[in-house]
Amino acid sequence: MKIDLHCHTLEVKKGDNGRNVNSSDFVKAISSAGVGIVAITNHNKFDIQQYNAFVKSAVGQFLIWPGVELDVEGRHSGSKQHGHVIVVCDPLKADSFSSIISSLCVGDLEKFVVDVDKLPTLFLPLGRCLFACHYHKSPDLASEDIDYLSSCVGNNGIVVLEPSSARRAGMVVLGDKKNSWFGSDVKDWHHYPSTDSDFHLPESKFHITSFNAFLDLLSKNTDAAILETFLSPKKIPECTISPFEDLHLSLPLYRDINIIFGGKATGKTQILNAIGEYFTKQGKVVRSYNVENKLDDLKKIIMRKPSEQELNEFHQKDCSLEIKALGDWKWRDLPSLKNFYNYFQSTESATLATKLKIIGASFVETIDETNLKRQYRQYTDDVAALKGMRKVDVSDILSPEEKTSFESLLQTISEGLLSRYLKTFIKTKSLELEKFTIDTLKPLISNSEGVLSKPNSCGLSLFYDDLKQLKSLLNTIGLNFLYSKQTSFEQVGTLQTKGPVERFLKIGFASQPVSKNKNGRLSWLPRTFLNSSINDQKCSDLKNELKSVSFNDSPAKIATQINNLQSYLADNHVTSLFEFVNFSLFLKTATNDDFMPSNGETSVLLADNVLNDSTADVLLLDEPDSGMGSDYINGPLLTNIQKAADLNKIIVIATHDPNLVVRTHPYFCVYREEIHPAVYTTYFGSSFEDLMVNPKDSHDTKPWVDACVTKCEGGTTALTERERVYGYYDD
Amino acid sequence: MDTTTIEKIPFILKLDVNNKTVLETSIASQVFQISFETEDQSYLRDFFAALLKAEETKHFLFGFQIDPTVNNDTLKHVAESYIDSLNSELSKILDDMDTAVAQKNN
Repeated sequence: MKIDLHCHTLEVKKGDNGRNVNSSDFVKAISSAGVGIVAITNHNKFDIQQYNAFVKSAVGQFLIWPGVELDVEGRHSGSKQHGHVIVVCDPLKADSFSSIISSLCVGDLEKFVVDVDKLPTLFLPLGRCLFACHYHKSPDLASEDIDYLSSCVGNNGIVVLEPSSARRAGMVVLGDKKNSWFGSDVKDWHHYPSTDSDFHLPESKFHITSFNAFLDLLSKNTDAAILETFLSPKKIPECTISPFEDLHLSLPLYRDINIIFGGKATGKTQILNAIGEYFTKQGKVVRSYNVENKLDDLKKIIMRKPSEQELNEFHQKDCSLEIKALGDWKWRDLPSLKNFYNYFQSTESATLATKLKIIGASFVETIDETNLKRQYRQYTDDVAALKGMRKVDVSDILSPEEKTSFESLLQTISEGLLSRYLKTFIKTKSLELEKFTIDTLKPLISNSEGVLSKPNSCGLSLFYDDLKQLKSLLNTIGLNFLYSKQTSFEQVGTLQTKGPVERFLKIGFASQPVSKNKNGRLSWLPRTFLNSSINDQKCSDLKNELKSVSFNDSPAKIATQINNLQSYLADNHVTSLFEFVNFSLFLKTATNDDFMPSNGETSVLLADNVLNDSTADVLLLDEPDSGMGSDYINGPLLTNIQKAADLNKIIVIATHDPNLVVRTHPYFCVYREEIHPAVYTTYFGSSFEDLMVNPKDSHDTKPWVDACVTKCEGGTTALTERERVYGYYDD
Repeated sequence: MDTTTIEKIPFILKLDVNNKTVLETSIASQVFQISFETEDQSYLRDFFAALLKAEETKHFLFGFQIDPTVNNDTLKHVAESYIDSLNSELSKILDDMDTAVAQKNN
């Protein structure tokens, strides 16, 4: 939770312009900034009425503590150095605090000043108070005066100088620049908390519910019992593991950040793996990041098969009807000129028969049975889709009138679909009946009258229909075979410089293009056929077979080509295009539709995915810092780890990166030290207590800081040398 | 060969009156002789294929005519009937082709 202990709400002194704020704007600004605790610290003034009004408005959103920023005159440095001191007291004492300030701060508040000696006498009767002295910020008291104040306050309050106690309190002081010490010192409420993009309010790792709890955390005398109060809500039953034959550990892990650190080859990974096995057996969902397997792990994350819904379209376009019709296709027999000649010869002596006009009837219409079957399939698919739509519960989406209208539209569509299909059905069946009648009656009359029937056609229509049907079949199959679609984008992770990385699938019948990077590292994202017996070669063979039919050739050659194609289809058991369905995976960024992540980017994507897995209970990160830049570690990685911790996930990180060990403020640490060659000691502890204890020997202890500096910072020499080189760094 | 020529540019149909066995036609420089006696299917298909493929197909429409000087009734009926059928079916096919082209353009 964010904390702002330096906040002005009134214009009191010169230079306070822009600090007046009303209750509504105050609550809106503080809430929007995600601040959980705010102290009102106006210059030499405490307005109890405004305070009470603000508290009333902020109930349930954030805590407001009473405070003041006093002009204080030093007494102990010899120079009477003037400085500002913020005093914050328990909100339960707000009325008394108000009385003290009202009595103290009288007259011209611009010129008001109080002796530093008087502060303890004035405020300690209220109970424990927080005194925050300007430090590296003008005007600030002399160090002698601050020392004096600290000695007077003792255990009855806290004098805060700098965030030296931040580690102990779990405070994350990110904005420790001179003008951002422990609070926003807001200048303009239109730009709260600050216009400085680098400014960050301090955050507490613990959820603080009272003023005294906050002081407990800041207290340098914090004892284990007090810490336990804050840590216990995230405690889980001890995790019992045996990572090595001679090592059995009961780890008091938390639903927060837990760190395993130590030198290289000290067994951190084995401990992490044993923790993973333990939680898996417990039925928890465990997600792991392992730098060694990152390429394969990212592949597993990215790979996916098309869903049934995505494949529906391919079922509809599978051309099973067309392939069946193609298998049965052949040139039909044509009537010859001789049939005409024979007919006329026979009619010369059979005048009765010639009077029956049906004997000379012809039938030249096209009956497209395949089209009728296709239409029927489309009709049943559409009806099924409509049925699905009718099942959708729209009662909370549409108004009763809209619902009635929606149902009416569905009914209209349903009737329209039936009407459309019936039109084709009636036309086809009528033609079939007509043909049946002619074909049946003509031989009957011929037989009874001894006259030959006139051919239905000269054959041109039959030939044309055969040709047309063949072209249509090959065209439909060929076009559908080339059909492909792209699925919608799904985010895989985010890269600092490139933004979101998304994956998508290209699904198709024929071989679709694969990633341009197919010969690179992403060869692990190949095209995949749903039917494992199909491959690129078989796709290519079918494509070539379909292309082999040339309509420029003579009808006899066409017949030969079709015979070959029919043999190919039969020999290879090709009854539908669906078995040729295949898909390729692609990664995409804002500027690149075929993105291949670098080695480092692979790590980032994997870590991002693991840490944002909403289904996981336990996140195990083995050296997530490996190969990463410090800007990534201290930026997105730390942020994502903290976000996961806020969701009460059990996070265990094996690392020797100081940023991860220190800046995650882990609840629990395991430290592995090689005390002799191949002889290791394990310590448990936390940064809050600055103590690591050997669980096998409670007298064997060491400061957490020592372990960190030795193994993470490279030792005291390296640390101090870096400090010397950097000096006081202020960008 | 004693033939009577029925001509309608660019389609030419020749009718062998003497032996009454062959209808001869020339399409796109190819000459087809359709025998009264044979039932050779491939020959007919080649004829139809050439007919459908030829650029001048539209001109064939109603271009098949019988020579009025032919006086053999049977032959006349055969030729008339066959040519009627050709004209009728070609007409339907051309309509169908036009419809297909219109659908494609839309």
